[in-house]
Amino acid sequence: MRYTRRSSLALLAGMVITPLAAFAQQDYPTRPITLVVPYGAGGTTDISARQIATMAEEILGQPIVVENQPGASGTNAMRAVASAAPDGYTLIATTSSPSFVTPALRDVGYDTLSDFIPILNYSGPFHGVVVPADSPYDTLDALIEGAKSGAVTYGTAGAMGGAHLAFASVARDTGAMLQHVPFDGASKATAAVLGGHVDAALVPAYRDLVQDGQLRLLGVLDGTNDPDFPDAPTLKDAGLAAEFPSIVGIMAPDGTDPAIIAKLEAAFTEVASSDAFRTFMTDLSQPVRIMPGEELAKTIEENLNAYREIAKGLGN
Amino acid sequence: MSFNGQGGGFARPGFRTLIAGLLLAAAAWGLCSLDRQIEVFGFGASGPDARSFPRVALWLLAAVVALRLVLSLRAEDYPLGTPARLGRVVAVAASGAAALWAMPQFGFFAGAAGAGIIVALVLGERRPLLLGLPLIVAAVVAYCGRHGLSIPLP
Amino acid sequence: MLVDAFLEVLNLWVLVAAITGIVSGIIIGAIPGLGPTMAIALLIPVTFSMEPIPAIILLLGVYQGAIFGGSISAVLLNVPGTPSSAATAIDGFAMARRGEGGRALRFALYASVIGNIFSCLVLMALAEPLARFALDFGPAEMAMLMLFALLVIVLFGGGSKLDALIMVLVGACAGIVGLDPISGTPRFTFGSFAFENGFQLIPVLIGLFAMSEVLLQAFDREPLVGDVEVPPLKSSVVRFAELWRMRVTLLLSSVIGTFVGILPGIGSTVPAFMSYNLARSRSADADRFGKGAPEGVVAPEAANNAVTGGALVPTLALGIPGDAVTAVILGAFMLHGLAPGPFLFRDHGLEVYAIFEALLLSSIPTVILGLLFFRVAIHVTRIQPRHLLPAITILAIFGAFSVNNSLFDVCVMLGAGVLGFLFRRANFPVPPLLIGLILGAPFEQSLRQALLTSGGGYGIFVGSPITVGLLALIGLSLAISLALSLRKART
Repeated sequence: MRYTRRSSLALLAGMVITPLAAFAQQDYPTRPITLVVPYGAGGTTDISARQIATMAEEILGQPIVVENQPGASGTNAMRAVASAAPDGYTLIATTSSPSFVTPALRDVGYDTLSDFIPILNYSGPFHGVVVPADSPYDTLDALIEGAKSGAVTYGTAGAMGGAHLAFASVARDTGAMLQHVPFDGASKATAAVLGGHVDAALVPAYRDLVQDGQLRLLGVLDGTNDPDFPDAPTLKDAGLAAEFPSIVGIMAPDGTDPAIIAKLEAAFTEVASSDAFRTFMTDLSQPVRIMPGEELAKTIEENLNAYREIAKGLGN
Repeated sequence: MSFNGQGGGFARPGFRTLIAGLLLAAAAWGLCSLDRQIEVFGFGASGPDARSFPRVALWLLAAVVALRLVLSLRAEDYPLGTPARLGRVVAVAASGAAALWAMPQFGFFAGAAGAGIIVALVLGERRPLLLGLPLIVAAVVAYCGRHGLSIPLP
Repeated sequence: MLVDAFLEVLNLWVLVAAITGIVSGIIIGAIPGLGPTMAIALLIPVTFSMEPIPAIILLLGVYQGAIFGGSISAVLLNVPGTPSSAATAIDGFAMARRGEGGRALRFALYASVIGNIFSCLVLMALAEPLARFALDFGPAEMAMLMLFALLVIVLFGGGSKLDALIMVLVGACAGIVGLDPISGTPRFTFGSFAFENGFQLIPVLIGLFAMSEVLLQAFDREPLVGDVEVPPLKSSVVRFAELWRMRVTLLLSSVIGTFVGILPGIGSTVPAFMSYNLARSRSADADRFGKGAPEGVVAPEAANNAVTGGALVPTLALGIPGDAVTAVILGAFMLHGLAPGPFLFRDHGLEVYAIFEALLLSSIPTVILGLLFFRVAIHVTRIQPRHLLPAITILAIFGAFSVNNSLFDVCVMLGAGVLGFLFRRANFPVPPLLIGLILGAPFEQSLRQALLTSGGGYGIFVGSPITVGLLALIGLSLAISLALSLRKART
């Protein structure tokens, strides 16, 4: 519910701004727009970006070409777009990891806060804390308590990902012995928790396995509850000072004309809040989570700072 | 391809000795710069860290390559060949490098077609018609790549 | 499920992809010196923007076509395109000299198709059960399995074991470059962002197999095939009864090909020679072998085609590729969002079964196109490499670039090309290097994951029935290899 209200507000704001934008940049866009995807073709980020691009073409009146620039967990594409001409013809559909996780850990050659203008957040899979169905842990508290008396292992999609850092900070705050085991992608981490090779896993796309009774969902890492599992608490609900909000949003290089940004925000918001897009994303098992550009910028800034703190705590 | 096995050992080094020497040098360099190239970011985790596996792998490599060198002292080797033959190889490799340098400036078509023509020349192609073939191939690849597969070629 | 998948296959694009793949495979494979791995490496970029089913069908079609194409140049010119068709050349060329080249090629074609169908049925029967079992493969089990795979290619890959070991280690060391899989810190990246991704498989593959060929030809320059007189092709037929008489040979060879294929790392050369030798030892008149016995063509061809289906079993069920070709196909699966492993059949069962069925059905176009093409292919075998290598250079640059749209990968491709030239010129085997590169990093990751879950205790490597079984296999293969070399030393 919250999202729909927020989206209609954004849509309203977009409608108000659009005439002004049209006045300032009447002719934009006059040629095809490139939307860079920092991952390979065929992944969920790519598929959803292609869908939003196809649907926005009709509103903007110019083709939107999706270009995949995979590699280095998305930072290569971010660096390329950061240095692209800020004319509104190069955009990026990006996720949490290259926006605020990796940049908090090491020099990536760009600064998300000063090199990009967030336009809109339109998705972001919930990450859940899951344990096997026969696990002794029923709640997050039980898991943390259990980890105080003996090491509890947890798998994630990769080293130094947002999920890993969130739990590392939990471990530091509570003194629990949470041993991280990084896997190559979320599906391998999920397989490991199903096979009982790790005690818990922090992974997205858990819905079917939890509903099937193969896994138990103890909580979610996001700032808000997963609408499919309203009973699963967030880490904050459980009294832990950490979160890993998942974003999938569109950003433009810094210096892009505000009128162009407004026009793009209006167009993409209209598409993202349409029923057709929601149906498409549901088929893809992805939520639609609309957040206007300014709010997205705030989320990124907060988390970038939070992750820098965590990384500092972990460093040597 | 017929290899005329002759020479061998250190007296008349061939390809095998050359490669074994290069690999040994690379492994030794890797071991020396291991600590500089790999930073260990400790979480207080037990067991091997980021340096352990590379160290073991490089030591093993150095050991087996050294064994190979010792064993091949008396074995036959593949001769390095005349300067002309090696020159052709260098020319082809250089044309690839030149294409790499030229592509950001003059575009994919110019770079790739240039490399293709040099390769054709090096391989002994003299007929102008066939020397033009790389131009066509490069043009087709560039066009299909950019418009058919939407790959942002330079 | 099977019916739904079948409906997916009945798609114009799938047919177009299969035919394109098979035809280009036959042509590339028929050109002396160009083999299946190179054909696949050069055609990957084309599949990037395709749907998953046609993309993978195209790649598998290229592979099948190239193996058959390789037997064309092996039989008619005695120039095997790949080491695996070297066994075919022994009797195939002898038959061709008798004027029975057409018959030899027909035997080769039918045998490949039978081998392919057999292994595909085994794949359909085994992959899903093994994938279900895959949840039991934790980090420790994976580490032992990969150790076994690496050992197998060193011990049984053929050729010098020391050379193979060196190449595996070179590959594993090259795999270190990039971000550490456990702590995420850069390793041997020289402070450059470009290195953080490590050496990607496809640029390395294109360099090792395509670019190095260009350099080898520049070095040799003498034509691979002189003005060899191609023996006349009499029109001929192979009757079903003739194949039926060889049913046991065909079956045994297919079994050998499939099950050796399941063992990761060996490739198709060893099973081809194994089944050739077995067919000879079983034959009533072994003297005919080497002088143009049809069984001598049928046995290796059935075996080397059966390898693909077998090699796909561990690739799809556990995500462990057995050779360069399956590694590339694994990459294509990942690229199209089909992650191999326990969830593959649950989440993408339709696509996977459609691919299996298309692989099975592609036997029909393979036979038709094979029969149509081998007369054309005789002309193809006369193409001088120098006409083609410039085009291959251009395609190699393009292919390497298109993987990540980065010039760094072109650089890696060129470097791998020069190294590949040196290695191949010095007669070091290149496939083990690729396996080392493919399995080295995941092996290290699994090893360290296992130690993280066990809190540093090495007991985890003997802690489950699977690890104990794999350890026993490792011991057994060491013992067999030792026994074989002792027996060889004595004779």
